Formats: sequence, C-alpha cells, structure tokens
Amino acid sequence: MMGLLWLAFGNAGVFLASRRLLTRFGTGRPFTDAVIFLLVRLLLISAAVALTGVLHLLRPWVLGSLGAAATVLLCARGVHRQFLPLWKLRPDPAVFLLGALAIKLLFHVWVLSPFQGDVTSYHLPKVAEWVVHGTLFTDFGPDRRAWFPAGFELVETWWVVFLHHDVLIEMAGLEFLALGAAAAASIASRLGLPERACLLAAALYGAVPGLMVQSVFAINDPAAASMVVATFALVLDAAPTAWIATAVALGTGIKPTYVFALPGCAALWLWLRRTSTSPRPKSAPALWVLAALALLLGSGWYVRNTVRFGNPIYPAGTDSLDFGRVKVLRSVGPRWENLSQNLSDLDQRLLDRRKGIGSMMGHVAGWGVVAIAFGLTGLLAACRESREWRVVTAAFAVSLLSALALIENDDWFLRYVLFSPALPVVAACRMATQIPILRWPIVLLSALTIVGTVCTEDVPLQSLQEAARTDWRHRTFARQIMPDVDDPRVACYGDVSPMSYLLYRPDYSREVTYVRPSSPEDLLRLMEEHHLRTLYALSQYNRRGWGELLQKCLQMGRLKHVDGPWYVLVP
Amino acid sequence: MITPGRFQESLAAVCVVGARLHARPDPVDWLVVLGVCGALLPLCPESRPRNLVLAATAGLLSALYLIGHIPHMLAAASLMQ
Repeated sequence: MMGLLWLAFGNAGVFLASRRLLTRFGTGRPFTDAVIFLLVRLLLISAAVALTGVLHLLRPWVLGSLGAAATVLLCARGVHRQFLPLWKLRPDPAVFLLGALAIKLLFHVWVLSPFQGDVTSYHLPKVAEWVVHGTLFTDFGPDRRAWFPAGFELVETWWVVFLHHDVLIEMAGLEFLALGAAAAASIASRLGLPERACLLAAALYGAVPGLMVQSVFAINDPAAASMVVATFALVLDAAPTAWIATAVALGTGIKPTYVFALPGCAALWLWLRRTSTSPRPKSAPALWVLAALALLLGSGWYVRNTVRFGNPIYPAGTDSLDFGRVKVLRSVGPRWENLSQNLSDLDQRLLDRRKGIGSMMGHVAGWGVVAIAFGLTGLLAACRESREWRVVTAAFAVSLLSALALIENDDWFLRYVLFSPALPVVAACRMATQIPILRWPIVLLSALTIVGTVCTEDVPLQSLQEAARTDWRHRTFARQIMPDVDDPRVACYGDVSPMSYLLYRPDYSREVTYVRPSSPEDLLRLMEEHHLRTLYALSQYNRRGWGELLQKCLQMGRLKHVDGPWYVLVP
Repeated sequence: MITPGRFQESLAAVCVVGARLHARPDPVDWLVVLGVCGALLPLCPESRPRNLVLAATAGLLSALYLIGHIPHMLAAASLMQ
C-alpha cells in the first residue's frame, strides 16, 4: 500500500516539475510542447533513478519523498492548474482511436510480464539487481550484453522500484510511445496539417504494429525509434538547440542504433539553419543545464565502458555477440553490403507476409497497413506537390539509409528502423485532409490493427487468457517457459542468453547469486560458501568450457540434475 | 494541362515500374502499384481524377497487405486453442 502511495507521489512530482519547466522553456506551440513535456518527464525520471542509484538510495521512500516534496511545492505555486483538461477534447475519430490504443496498451501492461529472451537475459537482470540492492553498482548477470547503454532500463526501474514488483514495468515503453506519438503530431503540425489531422497522426504512429507491440514487451528499440522521431520534430520545429541536444543525449543513452539514424536529423538541422529567414530561438542558460544533465545520463554508459573495458560499445567485438550463424557487430561502420542486403530485405518484408508481429519482429517490417498503403501513397503525392515535404522526406531517407548501412543484416534488424513509418503516417493524414472520405478506412484499418495485435506471434490467445486469470502478484510467463523449483535462494551459472531475470520472480522475492567458477571445484566451493543448495545453469551457447564444467560436477556426483536448467548440490 | 515536365515525370515512373517488373515479374508487387500511381498522378492535373488514383492505389496496397498478413493475425489469436 505504501508502495502505491510513493508511486503516486513520485509521478505527481515528476508531472508537475515537467509542467513547470515547460511553462518556463516551452515553445508555445502545443504539439512541440507536448514533445518537450514528455522529454523532460523522461529526463527527470532517468535523473532521479540514476542519482539515487549512484548514492545507494534507490528506495521507494526516497523517490516518493522527493516526489511528495516537489508536489507540495509546485501545487503551492499553482502548477497543477496548468494542465490541459482532457474532457475539453472534442469528440473526433482520432481521439477515439487514441483512447482505444490507450486501453489496449494499458491492458497489455497489466497482463503481460517480461518473457522475451534478450529482455530477460541482459536488459532486466540488472534492473532486478538495482531494485533489490538499491544501487546501480551491482552484478549485471552473466550475459555481457548487459554492459550496453541502459537509458531505457532507468525508466523501467522507475516503474518497478515503488511496488517492488514488475507488474507495471511495461509502462516505460508506453512513456516512450507517447513521446513518439506526440512527435508525429508535432511534425504534422509543422508541415501545415490542421489540429484534427495532427491528432490522427499521433494515433496512427502509436498504432504502428511493430512499435505498439514491442513497446509493451520491455524492449528498448521502440524507445530509440520514438527518440529519433522526437529529435526530427524538435529540429523541424526549430526548437532551441538545447532541447535538441537534450533529445540527442537521452536517445544516445538508450541504444547506439539511435545514433545510426542521426545523419538525417543533422542534415535537416543544417538545411533549416541555412535557409531559414526567421531569427533563431535562443536557449536560456538554465536550458543548457538540462541538456548537460541529459548529456551526463546519455554518455555515462559509454564513459564507464571506455574506462573499464577500453571500448565504449563493449561487448561489441567479443564472443557475446557471436550467435553461431549470425555474428553481430564484428566491425563498426557503414558498409555497402549491409545497405544492399538490408534494403533488399526491407523490400521483401514490407508487407509483413512471412510472420505475424511479435516481440522480435523476425522477418517482418511492422510498419502496418496504414503506413504502407495510405502512407506511401500519401508521401508520393506530398513530395510531388511540396518542396518542404521533399526536404523532410529526404532527411528521413538519409536516416533510414544511414541506419541500414550501419546495421548488420539478420532476421530482426527492421526493429531498429521503426522511426521510418512516422513520416508516411503523417502523409496519410495529409491525404485524408485532402480527400476526407479516406479518413474512415484509415481509422478502421488502424482500429483493426489495434484489435489484431492484442494477440501476437509469441503471446497467443491462450497465453494471454492464462496470464489474465492469474493473480497479478504472481503473474509471470516463467512457468510457461521453464520448470521452477521451490527455493528462495539460488545460484545462477550462465553465459549468453541465460534468461536469468525469470529467476527473481515478479516481486523480486528470490535471492539470485551469480557464480563465475573457474573450475568444477570452484563452482562447488562458491555454492558452499554462499550456503546455496540449488543451481540454475542455462546458456543458449555453450562456449569457453561452460557445459564441460557442469558435466564434470555431475560426474563427480556433487551435482544432481533435477529438471530443465535446475541442479541441486549433493552434500 | 499535361506539360512536358509532367510527361517526363510520368515517364520516369514508368521506367521504375519497368525496371521493377524486369527484376521481379510480379504485377501485384507493392512497388509496381506505387509506380503506376506515380506514373498516373502527373497525368491527372484535376483534383477529382488525382484523388481517384490516390484512393485506388491506397485501396490496392491495403488489399495486398491484408491478404498476406491477416492469416498470421488470425493464427496468433487461435494458435494454441
């Protein structure tokens, strides 16, 4: 109960502080201000988690008390009166679509729990450790990919730290999806579309299937995509440079693939600076303080890796990214082979014919019917008729091409370019403004997409029903993925893809100790030293003698296999 | 009025369609549909035929997408039942 109270205080404090900063530094243009508001909210959340985590104070009462103090202070200044009353929104198909989208996503947030391999192997084990130990200085688990930037994980931590439970962890994805949707509306507004069309653009980008589905699967790729669209929106709207720098810094801290898409934003920024006749807006000094904070948050991960491993994008170049047939990040830099292979695959996968939408987006683009059918047609028409559209389209194309040249080809690379459908959906809205009758099929097809992605390739109806029936306190897909043992303290011996997040249980009640033995005797000694009886040993790739070590323990008779990845120590 | 500029634009789109059909002989390919739209648009200076071309293209592309994708959507909903 106290957790819920701290959660409410924390979020109220961040909401009001973001509103206060917006009042002071906003642009006065509603959709761009919505982007800035959501960006500041994410910045404040990330800063609060990072700061308390560094100070070993990552506890609900600390964050809740800070939120409560901010709430009292800002309410006394009347900031709470500055929010837009939602009931004043005019009834419109776009508003209904946004409402349906919100209901569907909140349902997913409530019912789903993390299960995807990458997420449970290297994104979330560190979130669990941070929350359990109240600090960022913890064991990151056996999968070295956990050393990649963790800007998105900071926001996920915010949504689990108060309740000490992961039932709301997918809210982090929703925060970024809202940012992407607001950014699409801002781009639409800047390109001269009326307010109704801007709201529709927000709904359509939020309902892009790849983005919508992945946002509730605790994956950071949609967050990176939304940050790219937000950066485009701020650049296009000629927002003060400090805001653009804030977005760039935060985006860089989420995932390096965000940076891959920046050339288009940079080209657009330079082109606008050269051609604009209106005076450039100045960034207030206090705004640069926010940008510096974002820079600290975004670059911290790379600085840490450089200092510790001599490689800012560690573990790139190690066998942690060697998946047998696929070897990722062998070399960093643009390559023609990447570009040609990725473009060819984009062409093949654009119509999402090979598979349904799922967490990994294997063999599909995930842009959806509206972005492809109405978006590409609308983009063709818009580029014929408007020079401004040609410029913005060229900038998006540069971003897409640069990302495709930098990303190595695999079955799921298209989830790294989910910023691309943003402009087509805005073009679809432009076409619907010019040909009003098209508004209806666009809304209907979006509604079909929203309903049609309630079940996905990897969460079919039966799994969803089973999760919905389970008490939220114990809701997890772990039991459907692997057997479980009844021991509140376990040792974990893993390597690549151990899915160790599933060990913690949804309320982080199980103590997980990561062991890195150098020999079979060392493994047994470590378990005895820590008074651990149960061992969880799982890795998708048996390398560096991982399996042999385990086998020797079994042959020695000191370990006994129980079930699946579970073993017990024989006294 | 169809100007020489518009005619050239249309011709360029026809070339794209031709190149695509040469590379992949599939008349209901998404790029072919879009290319035909690109070829027709410059020849429709009036808003009514232009809108008709745009709506028809969007409709055709929607059908292309849905025919291929809906079976997967339905499969996800009933896969484990």
